[in-house]
Amino acid sequence: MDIKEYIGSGIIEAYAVGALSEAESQELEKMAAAHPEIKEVLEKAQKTLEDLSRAYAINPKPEWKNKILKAAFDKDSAKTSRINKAPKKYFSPWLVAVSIALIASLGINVTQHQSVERYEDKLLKLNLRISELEQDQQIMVTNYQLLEKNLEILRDPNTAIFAMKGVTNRDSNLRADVYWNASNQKVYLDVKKLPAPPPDKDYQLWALKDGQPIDMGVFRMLTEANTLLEVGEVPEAEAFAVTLEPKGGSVSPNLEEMYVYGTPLRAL
Amino acid sequence: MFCNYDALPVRRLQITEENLIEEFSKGNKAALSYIYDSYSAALYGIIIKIVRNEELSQDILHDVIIKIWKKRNHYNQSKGSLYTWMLNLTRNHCIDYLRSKANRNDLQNREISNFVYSLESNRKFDPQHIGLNELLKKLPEEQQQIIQLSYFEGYTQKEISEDYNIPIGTVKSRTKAALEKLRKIFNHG
Repeated sequence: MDIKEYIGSGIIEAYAVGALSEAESQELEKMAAAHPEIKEVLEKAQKTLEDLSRAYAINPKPEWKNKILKAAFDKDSAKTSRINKAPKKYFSPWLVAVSIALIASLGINVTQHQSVERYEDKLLKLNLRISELEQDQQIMVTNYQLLEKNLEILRDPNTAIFAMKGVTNRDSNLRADVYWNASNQKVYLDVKKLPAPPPDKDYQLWALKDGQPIDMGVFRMLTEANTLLEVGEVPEAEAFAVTLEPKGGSVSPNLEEMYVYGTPLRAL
Repeated sequence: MFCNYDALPVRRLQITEENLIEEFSKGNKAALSYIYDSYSAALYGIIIKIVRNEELSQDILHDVIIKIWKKRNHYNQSKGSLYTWMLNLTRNHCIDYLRSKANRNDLQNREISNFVYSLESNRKFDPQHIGLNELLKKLPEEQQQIIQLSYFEGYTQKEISEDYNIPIGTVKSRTKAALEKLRKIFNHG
């Protein structure tokens, strides 16, 4: 089929406005998936209709929102509770706390004869709050597991610490440490202070054995990372060093661009 | 080897345009709240434009938002934007509703546009909105008709061709011309 002719016919636009039959629509979707030119025209048509629709926008009354969302979430929980019959083993302390708060607030409100809308409003807000707290809890659990793993690495008697410090021509406060585990040969990196690399460069870690550098890969730092970074394995090393290399790393280190270097703090 | 810290969950996620789709598909309730805040006005406007009755539009908005949430796993990013998906879901819902109602009332399918136009007079229309509402009028009449029939009333090209005695090829080329004209209008203000 001639793609130009296909695009010129207007069938893509007819699809966008919903004027194609089910079979014709499926055919067009296949064409769009196979030909980027068709997909592009389709996206343009859809964008135009989005703009057209926005032109008709009318704000719904603000008080509808809670009612509508509540109805949506209620249907949802009705559905999932039917599927999820197995009792949960654990009750999140947050859930319990929030539930107690909810029950207490319901009790008080009943005596105060507040309107049903008010309860619905509160329920919705509490529902949203519960899901926020569940997310928070998930994050805390993940962070806890991470810290636990870090501590395990540090406490392992087979772990040797290489404190890499700023080399002669660099800021002497620069610091990045390597933890190398002699039994499983794993290498963990803990970046403490390194300047942000320029956008076209990457830091690369090297292990040194018999004076020969072994590539341990490039790494990227984010200020929020407060964890050890597992960077790979090396059977043996006398020292570790970090150099700044072109993006993606180099085959051998540029010694002019070495930032930190370190030998083991104590023998195993 | 490349190590990246990005995956660490260090704080609660805020819903943004960037993570909206992922969180929505995952069933994060905050995502629906975000969608409602960002898109309910556009969807409500389309509903009113199609069903032309405010009380009914309120009910339909209610049903449509529930449907969007229920069908969140059906959204396929490769077929178009989330907004386009919601718009089409909304249009189809309205059109299906009107057709079943029209059938129940033993009316002809196509007489939906005769339903009472009962928008409350206290509705706050901003002047810009009124201007834009006339947007379709900037198109030649035969193009307006095609967009009205297909996009807002759910006619297929075959039905338009048969009912209005226009060759199918012409229906398609008019649709294309209409969208191109509209696109120029949006791009040039």
